[in-house]
Amino acid sequence: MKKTKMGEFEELVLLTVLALQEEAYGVAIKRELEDRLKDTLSVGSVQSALKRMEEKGLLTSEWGEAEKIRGGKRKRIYQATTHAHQVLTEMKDVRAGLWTTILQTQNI
Amino acid sequence: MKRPDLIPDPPKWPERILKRILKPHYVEELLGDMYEEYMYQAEKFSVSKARYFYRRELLKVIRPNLLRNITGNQKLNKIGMLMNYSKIAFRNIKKHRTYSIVKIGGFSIGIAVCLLISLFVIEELKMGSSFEDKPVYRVLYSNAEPGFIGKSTSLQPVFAPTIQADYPEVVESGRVLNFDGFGDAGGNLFRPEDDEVSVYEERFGYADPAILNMLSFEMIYGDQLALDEPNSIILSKTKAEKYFGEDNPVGELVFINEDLKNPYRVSGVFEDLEDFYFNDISFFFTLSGKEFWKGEQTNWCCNNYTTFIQLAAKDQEESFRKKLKSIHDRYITAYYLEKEPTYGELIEQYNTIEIQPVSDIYLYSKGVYDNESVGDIGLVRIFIIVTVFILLLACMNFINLETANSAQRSKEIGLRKAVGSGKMGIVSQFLIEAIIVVSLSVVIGTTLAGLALPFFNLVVDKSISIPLDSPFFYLILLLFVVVIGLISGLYPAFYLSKTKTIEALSGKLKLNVGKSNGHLRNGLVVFQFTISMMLMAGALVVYKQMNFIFNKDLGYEKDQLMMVHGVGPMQERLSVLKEELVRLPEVSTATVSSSLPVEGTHRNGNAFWNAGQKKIEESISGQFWRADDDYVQTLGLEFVHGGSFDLQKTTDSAAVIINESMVDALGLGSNPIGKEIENWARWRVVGVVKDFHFSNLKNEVRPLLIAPAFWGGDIITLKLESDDMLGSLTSIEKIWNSFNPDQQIRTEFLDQRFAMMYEDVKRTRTIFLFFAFFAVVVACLGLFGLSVYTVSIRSKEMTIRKVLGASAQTIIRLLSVDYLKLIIIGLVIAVPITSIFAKNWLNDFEYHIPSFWQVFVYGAALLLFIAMSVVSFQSLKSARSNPSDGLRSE
Repeated sequence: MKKTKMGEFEELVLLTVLALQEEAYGVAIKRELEDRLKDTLSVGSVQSALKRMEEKGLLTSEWGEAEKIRGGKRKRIYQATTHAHQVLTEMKDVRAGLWTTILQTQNI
Repeated sequence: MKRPDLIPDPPKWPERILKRILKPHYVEELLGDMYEEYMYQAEKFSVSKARYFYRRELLKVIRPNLLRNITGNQKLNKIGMLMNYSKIAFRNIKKHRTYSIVKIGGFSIGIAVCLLISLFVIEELKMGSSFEDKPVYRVLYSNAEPGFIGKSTSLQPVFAPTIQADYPEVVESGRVLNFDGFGDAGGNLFRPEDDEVSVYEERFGYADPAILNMLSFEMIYGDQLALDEPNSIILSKTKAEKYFGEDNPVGELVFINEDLKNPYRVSGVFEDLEDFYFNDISFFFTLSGKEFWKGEQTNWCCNNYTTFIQLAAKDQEESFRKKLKSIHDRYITAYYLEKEPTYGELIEQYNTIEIQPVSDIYLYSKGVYDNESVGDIGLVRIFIIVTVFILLLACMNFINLETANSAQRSKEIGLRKAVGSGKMGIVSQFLIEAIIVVSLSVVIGTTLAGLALPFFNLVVDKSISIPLDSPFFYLILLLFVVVIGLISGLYPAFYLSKTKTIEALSGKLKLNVGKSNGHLRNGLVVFQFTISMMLMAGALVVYKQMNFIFNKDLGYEKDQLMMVHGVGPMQERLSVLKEELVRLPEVSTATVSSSLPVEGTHRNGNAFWNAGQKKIEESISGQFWRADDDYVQTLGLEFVHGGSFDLQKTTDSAAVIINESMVDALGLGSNPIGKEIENWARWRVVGVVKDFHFSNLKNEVRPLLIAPAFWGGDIITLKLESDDMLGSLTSIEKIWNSFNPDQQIRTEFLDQRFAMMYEDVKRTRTIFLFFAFFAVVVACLGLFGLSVYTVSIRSKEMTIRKVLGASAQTIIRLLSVDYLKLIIIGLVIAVPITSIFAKNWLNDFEYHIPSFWQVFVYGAALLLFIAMSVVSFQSLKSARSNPSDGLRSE
């Protein structure tokens, strides 16, 4: 596994970006996560996670449409990189491996 | 649910704040998100709740990775710029090669000199500092009699034990004896029992057992009780290694002067005494159980012992000092009042004892006669002051040259600004350049100091080293680099960074800069030449006074006089020795007397009256000497009236010779022969000699009376007639050895002793010359740099003048006259200041040069000559250059 460090929250955001596909922009990600986590989040926390992951090369982004509901300001659509896919898969594998071990030891 | 178009806009102020603090390229997206959320909340809940959330969002957005960098939104290549700055700095040094050599060279020399002197000063101040907290004192015997003010270190043998017994605050006392020729002190033949040959060793002394602890001797073998047993001897580490190698010599027997009946037992080895006092004594005999002659140890008669006392605590010093005069009178005055009442009265009036902390001995012993070489705090202070001045000169010079140089670089600055350098960029460039140049100078300066160190050590008689292993040393250098670098870089940095790009590029700036700091620069030149002139004139004044001293008619002949010391104990055989010596063809006359007209020989202050006036008139104070009848002839004194007494004639037992001052002081009139003088006895005048300078020229000639020395004296002085000094010495030594086979002859030339009296003058002269030299070098290097600068700035002007017909002389005059004015101002300022100092210094001497205006003429001529050669060197280059070169250069 590469040395890319990813926090738990960042991982959730990244997975949300993948889930939302073309619709992955700040507020949409925030709402999706709020629904799933049953908690309120702030714009700042989500944005900060997005920017951090963009710097790490896990995300890319480009400008989307300007909308009236956004006060005439443009969205920024996020997309996960292949690197992000790799990292996520690796983490999933590690977790799965650990769970298998845990279950096996409990069975004995 | 509300209709979206009815919802009012969120408040504007959070948006304004965020626009300022967020990274600019994040602003739109974030604000968009926040707006969208606001609308959503407002639709879902209420406007007020939405507003609340909106405001809360503002705080939550404040996260480090979303905020702007304080330093700006772009990451600058700082390292790259630093490298560029240093590259440019080195290119600049290379480009103006002469200028840089002068600038850095001058500064390096200044640094080297200051470094050396600072190390010397630190070394001096450290001397004896290990004793600072120890309440150990040296006892001084002080004589405040007019004309003979001085302190000696010699006290009576019983003094130390007596006051330790009588005064409870004195917890310990001890004595040291290190007069050459007293007992076995001085030089002796030395032989360990197992060795076969005796070797002559020079520095022997005696010490009480308590001294080892009081003066904190570090014992390598044996302990601080090493001197307790009679006939024990301790050696310094160096000598122990010389005779016993690595072995422990304690318990070995040694013979002194082949005296096999009285061997000494080695009882200890001490670490060489380097740091303060008795610094070259290598052997100490114990004083325990020692008596040099019968009754010597219990007598108040003779002052021979350097005495140390230890108080219970340092804070008792003040109260003990108050008792000193009463201690003196209780023992010493009382002794003399009984034995020699007149002398007793005299010392009751003038003399006392003093105590001096051991830590002060090295630096604060001016006016104390002892035979140890010590430093002088006055000298250290002069060193500090002058060092600061030289460093100041060097720094100012450097700053001056650095500023002048950078003014030529306006185009570079213009270009830098045009391609986007900010003000801070320019400032840091110049500061970095200055720091680089200062560092270079410091490195070169330290290297120079290192190279000069062996010679310097030779001159000051020290073993100083540069503390390359001390982190503190590097810290100071670093601090120096930063401070001087900043100061010298600051002016050009801020001045030049302010300039407008266009002006800088168009070259208008040059003239401006040249003029605007002209005052500063002129001031510096004036200051430097004032200092140089002061030091130069100072050196010349001292030099003149020195010549004056050595060429003055002293009233006696100081040349060709050889003193043979330590003849006192020969007693009746002394006259035979004298006869034998006079018989030598090399010796014309000889005289026996303990008192000679040089310091370090016996002095005896007395009160005198006209005979019979003792109870009626005020006494006059003068010297009472004893000599034989050849004294006047041998020393070449001149009789004004009468002649010498005759030791053979019993009628002459009270006949004396006096000097003119005595005649004047007692008012004996024009025919003093036959008149009578009284001190503790009555004397009849048979001869009057012309005044001769029997003490330092700092003092007036005092009244003197020479009485017949029936019991000999301690020194026999020979007038030599031969030019072959070595040959004479051999024949004299031969005769001496036939009289005293066990005792080494101890001779000394009177003129050498005379020169020693003025060692301090000589030293002052050397120091002034040394400093003057460096001040002039630094000043001239500065001047040279400045003239290089002026010539380059005015080169176009000069070429045009040449084209229009100016002669080379005109060009040189034009370029030099500005500096000439400044230098003359500097020199003129120096005259009154130097005069004040010089007069002050000369006032120490009762006899000094009448005037010294010539030194200013010589000094000014020399400095002007040097300065003008420096300036015209550059001007000449300009005057000789081909006009087309100068005009074509742009």
